[in-house]
Amino acid sequence: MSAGWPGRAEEPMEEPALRSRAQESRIPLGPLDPTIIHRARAINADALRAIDDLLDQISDSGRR
Amino acid sequence: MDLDGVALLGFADLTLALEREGRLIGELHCAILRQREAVARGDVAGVESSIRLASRALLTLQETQRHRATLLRRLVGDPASPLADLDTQFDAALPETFLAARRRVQSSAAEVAEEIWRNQEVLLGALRERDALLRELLTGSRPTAPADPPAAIAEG
Repeated sequence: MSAGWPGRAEEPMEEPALRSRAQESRIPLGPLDPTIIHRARAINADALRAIDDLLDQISDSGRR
Repeated sequence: MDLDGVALLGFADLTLALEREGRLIGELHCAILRQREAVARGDVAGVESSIRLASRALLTLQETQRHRATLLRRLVGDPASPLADLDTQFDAALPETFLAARRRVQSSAAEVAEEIWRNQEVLLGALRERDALLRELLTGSRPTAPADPPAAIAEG
């Protein structure tokens, strides 16, 4: 038994389709969300620290 | 220290570890360039993907560095010994393959560090741009950047 008026369940109703990833990527996004920018900056900061450590390990002790 | 057979094997392992680090730095480099392009396009999925790629490269790089420390401890007894100091610890010239791998890693690490710095600036710019746009929507006017004073005032 469906909610609403009798026969509602038989009414043709088109299901709204979910957007595919391809369709989503065509939607203009405008400026990036600050959350994702902060996430990108955080991973970049981690990468910079790791690379700095690596350069310290490679360079001679006089440079440290 | 003698550069005997055991030491040469140690250098061969160390060279392999450095070559692996070099490849991972290359992957990190690719992720950083993709990130910059995605930010320029305002492509959220692209930025997300670049973050995933960079995280993966970084995690594996850290793992490889731990492995290198183990190899160094085996070779010279000190896991934190700087790779450049190895030249003075052995009484013969170090294997050329090791020296070349060390040079490559050092130069690619320096390059990727510069690219990451550039991305940090680009991302900061994107944040500022967004703030300016929001302010424009709320107040109807775009905030002006601090500019030089008009010539008349500056001169007077």
